[in-house]
Amino acid sequence: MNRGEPSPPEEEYDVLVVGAGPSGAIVSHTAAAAGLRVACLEQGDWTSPADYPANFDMWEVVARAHWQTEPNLRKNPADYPLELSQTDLSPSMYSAVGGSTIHFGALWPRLTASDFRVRTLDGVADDWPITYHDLAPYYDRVDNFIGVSGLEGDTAYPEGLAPPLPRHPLGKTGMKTAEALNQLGWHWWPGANAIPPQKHGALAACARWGTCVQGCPEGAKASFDLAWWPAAIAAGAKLVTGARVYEITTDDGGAVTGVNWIGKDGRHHTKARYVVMCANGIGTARLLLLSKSQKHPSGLANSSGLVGRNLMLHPNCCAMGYYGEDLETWRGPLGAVISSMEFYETDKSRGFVRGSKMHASTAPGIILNGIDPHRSLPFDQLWGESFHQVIRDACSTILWAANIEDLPEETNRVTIDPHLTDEDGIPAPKIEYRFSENTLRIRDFTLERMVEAHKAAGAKKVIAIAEMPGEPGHLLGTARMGTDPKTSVVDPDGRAHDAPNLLIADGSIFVTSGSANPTSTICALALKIAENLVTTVRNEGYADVRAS
Amino acid sequence: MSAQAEKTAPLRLSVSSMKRRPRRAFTEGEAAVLRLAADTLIPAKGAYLSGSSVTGFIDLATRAATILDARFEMLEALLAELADIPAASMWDYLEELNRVRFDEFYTLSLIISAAYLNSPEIRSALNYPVPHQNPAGLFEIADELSSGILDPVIERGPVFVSAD
Repeated sequence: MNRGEPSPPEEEYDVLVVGAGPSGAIVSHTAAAAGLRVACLEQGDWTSPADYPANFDMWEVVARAHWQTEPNLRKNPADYPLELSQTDLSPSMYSAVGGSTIHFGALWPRLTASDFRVRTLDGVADDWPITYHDLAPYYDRVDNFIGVSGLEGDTAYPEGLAPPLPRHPLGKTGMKTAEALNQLGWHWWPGANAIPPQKHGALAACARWGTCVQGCPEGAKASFDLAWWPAAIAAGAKLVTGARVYEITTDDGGAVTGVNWIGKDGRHHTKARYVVMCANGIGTARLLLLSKSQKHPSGLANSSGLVGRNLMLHPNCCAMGYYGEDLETWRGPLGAVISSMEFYETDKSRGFVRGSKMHASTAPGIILNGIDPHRSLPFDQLWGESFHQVIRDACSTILWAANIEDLPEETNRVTIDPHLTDEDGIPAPKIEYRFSENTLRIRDFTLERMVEAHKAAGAKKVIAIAEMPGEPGHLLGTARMGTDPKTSVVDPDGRAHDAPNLLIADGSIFVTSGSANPTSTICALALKIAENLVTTVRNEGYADVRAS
Repeated sequence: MSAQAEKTAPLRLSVSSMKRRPRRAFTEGEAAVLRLAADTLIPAKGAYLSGSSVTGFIDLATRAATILDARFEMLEALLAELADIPAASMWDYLEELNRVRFDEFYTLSLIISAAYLNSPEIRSALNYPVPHQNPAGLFEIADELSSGILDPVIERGPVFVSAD
C-alpha cells in the first residue's frame, strides 16, 4: 500500500492523542491508567541517549550539524517546515517521542500567582480562568512523578513549593553568581530542574555531563520519552510513531469523530470518542486550521477566529560572562544553577509591564559558548591574534539567560501557508510574529541587568546577546483558554467550546506567557485536563472498559 | 560502520544520519587552501600555534567535514573559490565572506576551529575536558548553604505579588 491509499477501518479509541511530547505522554498515561482505550499518534519516532552528541568525538560539531533546534535547519524526516518570512524569531521544536523536551534545558520553574491575573493586576491581556492555587496540586504531582530537584521555600512563590528531590550543587558557578546577586540585593534561589540527582523511575541519576540541551547521554534528564512514556505504555496506551496527522474529522453535527493520518503503510482514519491535541502551539493550530468542514468553515474550534492567534514565543536573551579563574563551567547540569525572579513582577517605573525570569548556568563547550558568541562582535575580536585569548577565556564562561514575557497580540499568529508543504504534501504553518514595544523594553532592561550581574561577579568580559539563534522553543497561546466562546478557544478544562469532544492540552491554551519556562505549567495543565476527561468519560458510562 | 552498512541503515525519522567516513580526502589544493585559511583566521602569536601548525590538522579537518557532510558541496565550492585568493588578501576576503555569506563562512570556520581545538597540543594547553561522567559527591552540597549565602534572600522574605 502506498501513502495515498486508505487502509481498512481501524479500532475505535476512547481517547486519541495527537503528539507524544510531555502533554501527550501525561494525557495518554492518565487515560490509560484509568482503563480507557488510548492511542497516541506521533509523527516522529524514538531517540536514544546513545544518539546524542556527547557520545561522539567533536561533539560540538555534531551538535551544530545534526541536532539543530530549528526544524528548517535540522530537516529530519519527521520535521515539517515553517514559513518564516514574516517573523522576528524562528521557533524551535522537536518532532519525536518526548517532543521538544528532547532538547530542552529541563529548567522547571512554575508560573507565579500573578501570571494568572495580569488583567486584574496590570490592566493588560486577560486573566486566566484558573488560579495558581488551582494548578498547584497538579504541579506538585508532576514534580513528584518526574523527580524534580530543587530547594523548598523559594520566596518568589506562595508557600508550599517543595521540589521532591535534593537540589544539585551550586558549584563554583552558583556560588560566584549568588554572591554577586547578594551584593546587588537581588532575589535568587537554587534552580529547580527536571533532572534528578539520584535515580528516579526510568531516569538515571545526573552524572553532570553538561550537554543537557543537546540530549542527555546518561538518560538523566526528564525528556518525556524517558520520564513518562514508559509508564504510559505500561498502563496500556498504544503509541504509534511515524504517524503524521493531517485532519481532525467531524460528523454532520460538528462533533469530532477521529483523525486522518499518514503512516509508512498508507493513509488511515482512526476513530475516537475524544481527540486530545498535544502537538504544541504551532502544530495544534496548524491541524485545527486544516480541519475545515461545513460546521467549522474557518477551521475546527475556530468560531472565535482566535485559533492560531496570540502566538507568544518568549524571546530569550543572554549575556555570556568570561572570567579569569577556574569556575569548572564545563560541568553540568546545564538547567539553572540559580534563578532570579527579581525582575519578574511588574514595576511600572521601569517603563513596561510584566518582566523576565533570569537564570545562571554553566556553559560547556568552547565553540558553543566561546567562539560562537564572539561572532556577534567585530571580526578581529574573534579571529586573528584575538582567537588565542578567546578560546582561553571560553574555558571559564558563565551564562546568564532570560525569558522575556511576551504579551498576547492577535497579529502574532500561525496561519496555513498557501504554497509550502511537508514531505507528505500537507500544508505547512506560516509564522507571523513581531516584537512588541513592551517586549523590547523588557528585553533591553533585562540584558542590562544580566550584564550588571556579571560585572558584580567580576567577569572580565561580557557579551550581551539580544537574540539567541535556536530559541525559543516556547510555543504558546494559539488556542487560548477562557470561559467566553467569543474570546477563547477552549474552556478551563481544555474542551473546545465549538466541539466538546475535542480537547487541547498543550501550550496553545496559555492565556499569557509569564516568563517562566513553560513546560512545568504545560504538564500541570495536561494532568488536570486528563483527569477531568477521565471523570467525564466515566460519567458517560465508558469507564473501566478493560476492567469490566 | 562500513559504507555498505551506512547505505542500508534504516531510516530514522527523528535522528539525523551522521556519516562516519569522509566522502573523499581533501585534494592537495584543497588542503593548501584550508591551511592558508586556518593560518589567516588563527595566526601564530608568541608561543601560540597557528591554525594549521597543530598535529594532524588536515586529518582533524577531514573529520569535522565528515560530520558536516550535508554541507560538503558548499565547502567544496568555497575551497575552489578561495584557491584563487592570494595570501595577502585572504583576511579581507574572509572578513567579507563572514559579512555577506555567513553560512559558508560559518561552515569553513567551524571546521578550522574544531580541528584546532581537537589537536593534541591545544587540548593539552587548555586542559578543557570533553563531556564525561562526573557525578556529584554525596556531601558536595552540604557546605554551600551552611555558609549563609542564602540568608539575605530568606531574610528579605517573599518577593512575589499575591493574586489572592
